[in-house]
Order: sequence, then C-alpha cells, then structure tokens
Amino acid sequence: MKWNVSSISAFALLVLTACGVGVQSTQTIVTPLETDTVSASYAVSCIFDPSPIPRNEHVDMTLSLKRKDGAALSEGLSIKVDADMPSHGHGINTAPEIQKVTTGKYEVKGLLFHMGGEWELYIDVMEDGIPGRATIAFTL
Amino acid sequence: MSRTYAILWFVLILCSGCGKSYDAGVTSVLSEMSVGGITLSETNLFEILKLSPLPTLPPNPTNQYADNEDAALLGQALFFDTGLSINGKIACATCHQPDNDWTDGKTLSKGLQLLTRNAPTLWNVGYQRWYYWDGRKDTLWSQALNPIEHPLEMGGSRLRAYQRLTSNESYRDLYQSVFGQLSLLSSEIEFQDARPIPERPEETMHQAWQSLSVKDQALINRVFSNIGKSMEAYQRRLISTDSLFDQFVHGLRSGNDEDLQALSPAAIRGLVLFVGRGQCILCHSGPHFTDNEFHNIGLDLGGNPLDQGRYPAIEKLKLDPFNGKGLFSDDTSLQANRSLHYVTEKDNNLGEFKTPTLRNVARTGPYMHDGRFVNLREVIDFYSMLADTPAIGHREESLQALNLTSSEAADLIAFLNALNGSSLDAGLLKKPILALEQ
Repeated sequence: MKWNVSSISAFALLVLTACGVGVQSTQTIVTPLETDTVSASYAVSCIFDPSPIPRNEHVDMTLSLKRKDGAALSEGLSIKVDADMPSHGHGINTAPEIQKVTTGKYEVKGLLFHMGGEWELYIDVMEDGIPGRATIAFTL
Repeated sequence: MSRTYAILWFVLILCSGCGKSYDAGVTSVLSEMSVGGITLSETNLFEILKLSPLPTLPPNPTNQYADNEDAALLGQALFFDTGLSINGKIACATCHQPDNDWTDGKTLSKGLQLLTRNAPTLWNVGYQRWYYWDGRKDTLWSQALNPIEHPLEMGGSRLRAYQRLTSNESYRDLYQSVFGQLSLLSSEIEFQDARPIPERPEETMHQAWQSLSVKDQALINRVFSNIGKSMEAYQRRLISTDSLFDQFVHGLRSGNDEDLQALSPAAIRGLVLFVGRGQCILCHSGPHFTDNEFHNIGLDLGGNPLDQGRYPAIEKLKLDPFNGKGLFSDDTSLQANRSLHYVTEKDNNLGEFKTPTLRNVARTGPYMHDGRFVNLREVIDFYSMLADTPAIGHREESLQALNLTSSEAADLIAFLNALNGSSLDAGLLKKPILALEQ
C-alpha cells in the first residue's frame, strides 16, 4: 500500500516557508496525505534543524503524525525513515535513527542529503499490521 | 559596474539569511550577468558562489592535538621518515611527494610492492569526511596509521613505530612536549615488529604481539595513535587555495574588474559547463569540489582485479579500533562522530569510490581510483561518452553521456586548470630539522 503526497504541493510548501519574511530557525512541511484506503489516513508534519535543509550536512527532523479522521494512533505504531534520489538510483548513505517522544511524535537523527537535486523523503508507517508510506518530495 | 555587483552580493546575503537555498527561491533574486562576453545565468551564479572561498579548516575533536604546532612538527618529521618502514626506504612522502602535489604521479602506487589504487593528493586533506578511495577510515589520524603496517606499503608495525620514536631523542622530546611522559615497555624485547593480525594468527608479527603484556600492548597502541595524531596535525597544514577561480569568484562578489579577468573566456565557458549542462557540480560540489561521498561512475574493470569500493569498507570502518568512536579517540561523542555513527551499507555502495577534490586537479594525475586516465582529456572523454559497462553495481543514474565537442572539452580543461592553487611555505615541503639535530 502506498500513500501519495503531491510532490508539487509539498515542494511549494517548502519554498513558501523557506522564502518567508525574516530569518527562520525552523522549517515546517505539512503534508496532507492522500491514501487509497479509508482505514488509514494521516497528516505528517516535519520540522528540520537546521533549516532550511542544508545540502551535505547532517540534519535532524521532528516528525509529527496524526490520523486525518481524528482517531487516536495505536500505541504500537512504528515508523521508519529513508530518502532516495529517484533520478540518481541511490539515496542517503545513512541509516536514520528514530526516537519516539510520544505516540505520533518522533525525533529523527542521521539524515544527510549529500547531493543537490530532487529528493524523496519516505516515512514508512506500520500501524495494526497495515503498512504505508508517505513520500515528501523536495529539491536541494 | 561595481555598484551593480555590490547590490548583487547584498541580495545574496539576504537570500542566504532567509533560507532561499532552494532553486525556485534563488532564481527569483539573482540576476543574470555577462563576464568576458559569456552569460552566467542566475542558477550558474548560485552554484558558482558556493564553490569559493575555501572556508576555515574545521576542528577535529577526535584529535585534540590536531592544531598543535609541536605535534605538527613531529608529524612532519615522521611523514618524511623512512625509518618507519620495514626496509628503511619508504615513507609517507614516497607516495605523497611534495614536489608532485602530494601524489607520486604514477598510475598505481608502489610501496614494498605495487598497490591496487592510485595515490590521492593530500591537498586540503583535513577537510575530508572519509579517507581512502573507499572511505575505510573516518579520521585523518587513523588513516595515517594504516600504511605503516600495510604489508604492501611500508610493511612495518606499531612496535617499530614506537621504537623509532623512543630511540630518537628529538622525537622523544617533541612527543613528550605534546603528549606527556613517554613510558618505556615493562620488559626488554628482542624483536622489532609486532602488530595484531587476528585474521592471520600464524604471522610472526602477530605472534610477537601476542607475546607482549596487555599493559605494553596498550602503551604501544596509545603511542601509535599519537603518531597518527601528529601526522594529522602536519597534514592539516597542506592547504591550497587562492586559485585563479577563487580570484574570479572574489571578483563576482566585489565587482573588481581585475579579479573578473582572472579566468580566460575559455575557462569561464568551462565553468558554465561545469555547473550547468555537464552537471559536474552534482558530485564535485562545495569549495573543496567534492561532496565527500561515494559514487559508482560506471568504470569497467580496466584490466584490473575487481574492486568493490565503498561497500565492504563500511564494515571495516565500523570495526576499526582506531576510529573516531574508539578507545584512542579524544572525543567519542555522537556529536563528534555523526558520519561514522549513522553510515550504513546500501546496495548502491557496490563499486562506489570517493569523489576526489578538484583543487589542483590538473597537477594531480593520473586519475580515478586506479589511475587509468593519464590526463584530464581522457577523464572528460569518459564522461562525454560513458561507453564503459560498470565492473560491479550500477552507474550513478544521473550520469548521462555529455557528448561534448572538442571545443567544449577544451573549455572544461581550461576551467580545471584554473583550480590550481597556491603552494606552501618551503619549510613544510621537506623533512624538518629538529632542535637536537641542528
């Protein structure tokens, strides 16, 4: 099962936030996920530090996940994060580590986007045995 | 004209401050400009300005002596010392020659025997994230230890290095001024070489190592690691900047006409290719002209044995007792070792090799990990045609045959020649005369 995020809208949000008035210490990407099942639908928010996402430097990410229908998340929900450059045939060279803060909020460390170009950040969710993926596309 | 450039630069500073590092944001504020009759687009300018100047060398917290002057002097002496090798004829400087831009100019390096890879330049080596073509070392001090013990390179051992240090009064004094009291071994020994070789326990050097007390082993390891730290302190000084390209970029920022004329029209055309259609900038990014990471560019075997490159090196890196998180590191924290901590093997690492710096590249051939290309024209022809079938793994898919004309190839070479930088004080280019030797 795969959830699709509109790359264009995600990137637009990135740019809009990055180009906002004044210097910002953090960058928020809110990505309303569209899903092909009614039973699982989430909204994902990613806050990067440093922000904007630097090229070829380590960046931490705070990830917030909510069900779009307002229902509580399962305690056993698990998250994996990875990133890829589809047009390059490779992704990041690191294995990000995820620390759960509360159910639905996670600290992700170990992201390093080492090249400029088009990236896809994957957030893989497993809840009640149902896998899914949120994809956030952005350009460095 | 100067005012125009000043405004451009002010806008760039603002752009950086408000985070417009994304393509769409940048192109909206940079202005296309013409230099020497060649148009530099907004996107060209954005990428070019990130290539210069070379920043201040970052600290290495895993080596608290990395910027210690006495450590650097000791490291310099050891760098040129053939006494660390088993035959007394090979030093670090044998393959990293100061009058050869810290290379040996050979296709493959030769220590005690012929090696399988080309000797990379040491220019600006302190800026690197990983060491060796496959990145099997994460710190420069740890890298410096390997050739001493490598059976095909210097063939020595950590015991030989320890004894070389303790038997030389100048070395000993310098060492103690930096690292403190240099202890003696607890008992007399009759052999010169000892090092752990757990994968080949039958080796004489391994058996000699096993015969030493744990306390003596610990002492030798500590001194050995400090030898590496001294060598790092020296090698961090091998910095080359102030190329014609740096002068040109300074001109873009200041509007100084003389600086803008530092590059020939051919070199400017080559620069535009480099950051534009050629996409060289994808991997050769930043002021060191490398992303400090690894790529499979799809080279064939080239008549050489199969070299898997980065993939198998990652496990070696993680298990290395001299890595940045090991016992001999001066800062084992996660913050100081993030690259090491998070790195992992991925399938695409097969056949990948480190992106080399391009500063002084015209003077540091032959090229590629196996030195297969004699000159820059051969390198450019490779990227222009991409005719090889990768020896292993799969080629970085962003690479597309450039089909460059002969004129475009010549422009790229003109640009690469403009990356030749300054040299060093002559005193750093040779074995130093230490106080007690004068």
